[in-house]
Amino acid sequence: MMPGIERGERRKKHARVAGFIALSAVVAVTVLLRPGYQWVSLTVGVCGAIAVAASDLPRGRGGPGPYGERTKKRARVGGFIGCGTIIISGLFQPDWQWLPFAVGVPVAAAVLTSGGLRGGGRRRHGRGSGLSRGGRDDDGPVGAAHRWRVLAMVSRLMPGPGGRRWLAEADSLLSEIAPAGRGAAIRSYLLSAPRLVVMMWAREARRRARPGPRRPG
Amino acid sequence: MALRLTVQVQLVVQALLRDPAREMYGLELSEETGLQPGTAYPILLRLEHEGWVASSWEDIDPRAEKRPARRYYRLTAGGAVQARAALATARRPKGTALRRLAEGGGTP
Repeated sequence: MMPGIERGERRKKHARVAGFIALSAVVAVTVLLRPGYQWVSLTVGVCGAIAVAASDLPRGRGGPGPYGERTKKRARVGGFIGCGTIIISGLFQPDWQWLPFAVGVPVAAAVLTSGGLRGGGRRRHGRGSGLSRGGRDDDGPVGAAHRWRVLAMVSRLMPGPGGRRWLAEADSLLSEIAPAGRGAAIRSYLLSAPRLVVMMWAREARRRARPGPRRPG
Repeated sequence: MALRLTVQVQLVVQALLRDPAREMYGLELSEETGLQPGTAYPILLRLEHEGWVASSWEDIDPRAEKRPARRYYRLTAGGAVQARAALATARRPKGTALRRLAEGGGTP
């Protein structure tokens, strides 16, 4: 990873975590002002968990290797289970209808801003990715990092294995393509993505509808 | 669903048919066809779903090679036969269509 990107990413990560903690505090204060609601600690806890799950964990804990992946996965699963519990309880308690919004908005923001919430094996623009090594994109490392994040986000719209493979192939190809052509290549990946998403899900639906033992896509 | 032989599909199939035994990776194919990688990928995926093409990841150590593994594509035996037959009956792309394709970097 280029030092500039690494520093920028670390700053972003800290900002993300701080933002979510602040958001949790706002939610907690809002809840405290409404007497009778005892879910304050749970809300804060869940928002914190989502913040951790959404942000990249510090290197060494969420880094490469089975332990890091497991930690990340647990954080994600914990966040989603807690969040799901609150949303469901909010839906079934008429007095708590504000809860889904209080939790849903941070979750949506977390999903949108995170670089790797889903897909433990997917690569972000970190060490070894095509955009972080061997020259810059035509609009510099910031543009390259941004586009890489968009590619990673788009890959999450695809069925798991298909998305991972698409991203891995894009990574492989972009690492070898001449820097001058990289921007155009990424644009072409993004342009063809909607059709690909539809194609992959149609295939996935057919595969699931088919009787008999399932085969990974 | 039958595979529609668009100009881009024909370009990819022709590139693979030049040497059916040869394995090609995305960048090679994209350079040979003049298509952008993002355009070639869905085509390769469709060809793979139809059984015309088989693909596999390169078996390397990315750290040692200092680059990610490539995914190699090659025509299957049946795929090569089907591709030749399909190309023989397909409408040949006009020169203008190919020129437009080359100017647009292969984006449909």
